[in-house]
Amino acid sequence: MPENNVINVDEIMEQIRAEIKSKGLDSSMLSFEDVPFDKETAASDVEFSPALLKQSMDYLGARNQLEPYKQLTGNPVTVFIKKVIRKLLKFYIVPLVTEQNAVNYHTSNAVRQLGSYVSGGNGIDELTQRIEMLELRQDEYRRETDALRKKLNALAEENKALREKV
Amino acid sequence: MKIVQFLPTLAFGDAVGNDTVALQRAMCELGYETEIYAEAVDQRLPKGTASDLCGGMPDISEDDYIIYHMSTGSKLNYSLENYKCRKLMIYHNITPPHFFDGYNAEAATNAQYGLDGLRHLAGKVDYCMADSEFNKQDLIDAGFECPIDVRPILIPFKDYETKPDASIIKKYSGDGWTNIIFVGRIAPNKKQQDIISAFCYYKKHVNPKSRLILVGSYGGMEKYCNRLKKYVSALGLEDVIFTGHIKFPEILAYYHVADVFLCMSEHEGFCVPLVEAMYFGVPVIAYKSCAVPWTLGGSGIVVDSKDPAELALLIDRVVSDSSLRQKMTDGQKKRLEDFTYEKIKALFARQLSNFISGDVK
Repeated sequence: MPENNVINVDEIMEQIRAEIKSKGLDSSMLSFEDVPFDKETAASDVEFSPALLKQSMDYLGARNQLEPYKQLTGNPVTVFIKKVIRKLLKFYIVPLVTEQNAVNYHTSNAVRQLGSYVSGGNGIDELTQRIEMLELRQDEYRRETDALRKKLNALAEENKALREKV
Repeated sequence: MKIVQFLPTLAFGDAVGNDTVALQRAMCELGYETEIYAEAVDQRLPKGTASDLCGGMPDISEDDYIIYHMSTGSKLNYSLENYKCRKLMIYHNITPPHFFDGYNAEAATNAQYGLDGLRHLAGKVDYCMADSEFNKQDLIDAGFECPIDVRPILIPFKDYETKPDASIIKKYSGDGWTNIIFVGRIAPNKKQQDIISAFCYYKKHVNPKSRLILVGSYGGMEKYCNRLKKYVSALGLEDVIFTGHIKFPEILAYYHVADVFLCMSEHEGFCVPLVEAMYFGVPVIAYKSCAVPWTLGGSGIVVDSKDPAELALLIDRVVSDSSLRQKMTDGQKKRLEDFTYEKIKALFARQLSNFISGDVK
């Protein structure tokens, strides 16, 4: 497939880097790596997500009843043989599916109830997260204060130099 | 003779699912008898689109052909070899497991299972199609020695003519604010944190009247998403919107209100949202990694730096320099022509017909 280079990206980036240098811009900021998280948590104990819970509950609600009769595929002979086998096993499969459907129905209800209970509130988690957040904000403010202090010092130096000139 | 497509999950609205359904349509138009089988079929898809494999594997004769969509770990990676017919594999790429470390152990395990499956399939398929040159190289590295051709994902652009959500357009346009967007799952390989840090610099030092909209589902990546949200709060950053999973007209609306599409992803097999940005005339700034430069094909702006200050000033340049914007969108429009439904369908038809006639090298 043909390339269509019409923009000189290197030139633009050079201009931008020169601008950053001339203005003395500094891109240091709180990094993503500074944000703590528990790396050890396995998939089995993932953080609670109301959206995911709702999604799974919706799925359970819609699909908890199994259907013992699946569409049979293959050529007519295969389909016929499969139909015969299905008929022969009907006495065994259908009661099993009925029993399983009852279990699924109650499991679905239980999960729904648990979902309602959980979404009722989880104060400790919220407070922990808030403290963590405030600490991070504090770090960021500290960085900003340091940057401002640097600027202030530079201005004071400039002021001093100007006064000396005058 | 029929052509049967297999894939682990036929999901509604994802790139692999869309490609599978689009190929089925294209094959029907070309006069082939075709079916789709998946281990799991999304219930939102129209009834009859595909059959699930709950009832067992279908009967396929030696004269039939299998098209297998490879993108994840699945039993299919090991069971399709039992069929004696000729097999074509379409490789959509697998995200390396290390990206998921600490966020989702299950996803990491599945990705590893997928990579093991990929290596297992080398020598067991007769022909491969790769979404991009990057994917083709991945296949070669995995030990595939069969003929491999590049065939970009088949995207039915007609879908983009759907009416966008009016409430989102009303909410985020015409207010003089700059909207920076990225569309894609919230996932560690997509490096949304680098988008946030660039936006932070842009908003704090260049343009306070700006917002960042991260469009995409975070299902299964809640831990990463929460960490991103913590990062946003810790930076004291406002106007960062995580949309979560939204409907198609809502996604389209975000493209309509976007001023810049910023992609910092470090692993993509193709990246359909780049093509969507091209379609909607949104200038793209993207990090030079994986399939991204190939998909952009010289259009947009590809950078090799993630420095927040550099990116912020670049965003400002793209937003304020109308001639640069025009050049970018013109270039993107030109590149978009390479991905039109008709062009890719014709390419697919040619490659498929060569495969059937045994004429692939």
